Amino acid sequence: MFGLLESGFQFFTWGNALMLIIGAVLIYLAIGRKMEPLLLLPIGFAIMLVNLPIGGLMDYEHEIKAKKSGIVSRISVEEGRVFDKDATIVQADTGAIAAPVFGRVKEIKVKPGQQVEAGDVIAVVLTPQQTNQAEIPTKPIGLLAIFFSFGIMWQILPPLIFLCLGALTDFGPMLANPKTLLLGAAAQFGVYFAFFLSLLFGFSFNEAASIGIIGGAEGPTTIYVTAQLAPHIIGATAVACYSYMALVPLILPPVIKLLTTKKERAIYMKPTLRPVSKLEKILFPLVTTVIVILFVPASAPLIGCLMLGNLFRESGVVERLSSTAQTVFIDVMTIILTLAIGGTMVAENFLQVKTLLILVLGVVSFASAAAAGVVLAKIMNLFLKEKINPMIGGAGVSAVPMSARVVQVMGQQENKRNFLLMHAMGPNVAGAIGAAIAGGVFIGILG
Amino acid sequence: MGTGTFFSITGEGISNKRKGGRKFVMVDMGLAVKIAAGGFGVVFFLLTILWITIGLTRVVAEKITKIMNK
Repeated sequence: MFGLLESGFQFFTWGNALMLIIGAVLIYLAIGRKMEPLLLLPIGFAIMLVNLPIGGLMDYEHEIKAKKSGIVSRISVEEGRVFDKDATIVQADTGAIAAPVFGRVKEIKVKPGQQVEAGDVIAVVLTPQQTNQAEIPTKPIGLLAIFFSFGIMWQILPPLIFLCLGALTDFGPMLANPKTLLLGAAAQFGVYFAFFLSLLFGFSFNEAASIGIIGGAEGPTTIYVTAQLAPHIIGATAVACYSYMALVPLILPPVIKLLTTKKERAIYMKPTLRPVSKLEKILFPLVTTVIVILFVPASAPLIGCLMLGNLFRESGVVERLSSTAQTVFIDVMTIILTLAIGGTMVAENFLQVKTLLILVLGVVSFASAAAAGVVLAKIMNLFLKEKINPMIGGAGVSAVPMSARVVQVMGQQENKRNFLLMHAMGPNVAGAIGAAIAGGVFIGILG
Repeated sequence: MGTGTFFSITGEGISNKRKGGRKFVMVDMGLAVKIAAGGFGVVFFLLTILWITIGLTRVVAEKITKIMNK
């Protein structure tokens, strides 16, 4: 008879309750504060969905096999019951058969007194835990688990979203003033600084790379790199990246003000940029693709898709493809990606000291990226006749176009004649290319 | 650059000894510095190359435009 024993209540923990609150907070930030609503709303809702127990949306199926022959003496965890990681599922005369993951038992395949051989399937369990597939193979069963496995682990969604971002991005301001590429490059210092710091905090090289790439301020790049190097922390790194992208108006100004004087912030930059021809805009994605991928082959999926999307936009002959990429396609990809990311944030996966460290290191990554961009701009001014406003270096944090808008607002506050938006867009979009290259470098070295 | 090691405090991760309730982890500092410095160097180098390439692209684009307009 249906009762509380068949419902999620008996498995509901304080961790689940906390995660429901976290999900609700993200939804509030999206709806109430309008902070990255396209991302935080579905992520927040997915967090709530997967923290309602035995809903099964993020379930993976895993077969527990006997390592040695023996006779089953006792079933320790019955079907439908929940267990912790390394809990004994079945007791045999040759030893305990434990689960390498946490979850609940779907089916027990043996009975007490039964003889089992090494390699026999003892039980089938369901778990929302992200595992190293080489060590603990699982099969996605839940809807969000399928989205995650085939969308993210198969590296389909992040490059396709990058294609859409390429179609949305106008590289004209960067092409008009290509030295701003250096500011985008300098901003990647935040990536490697956070990588180094993460190692000091005890993270592995792969985890440190996944944390460092948060500073690239590109959600798809962060997800792409983390999925390959450290999928078990993808929830934390993705939420950190998207949240801090939304918090750029809070993170950027104090960093910029700390590193610049009032006089420097008031440096006037002429509002008009050199006109960039259509041919330049068409040649740019072609040339960039060839050069970057020859040097960093691992960046091919991201850079290739980014530049293909940009070519759709600039060629002018595939308006339907460009329009689709900029609208419907990116929306569909975003829905699936964000639900999958939110789905990884089950209480047992997310509520660890490691997660808090990741969130702290993520903001360090962002702040140091902005700082490096500003510092390089100041160094460049030592050699330039026509000075650049060092604030545009802070826009190298490639939360496009948020960083550029923040710099525009700050510029207006210091000097009402200053329109820095288009100047800041240069390092802003250059940072996107830099982040993709940085991600490719990590994958090339550590993947 | 030598392959130095460093004992770091960690809240999580692999531990190979306990001391006074805190876990210490050996981190290959040499490798860490190589990856960080080398990676940043590659990104900076590549974007510098792109900077130069964009300048050349502009020149090529102008020449092609001139030829096509003749």
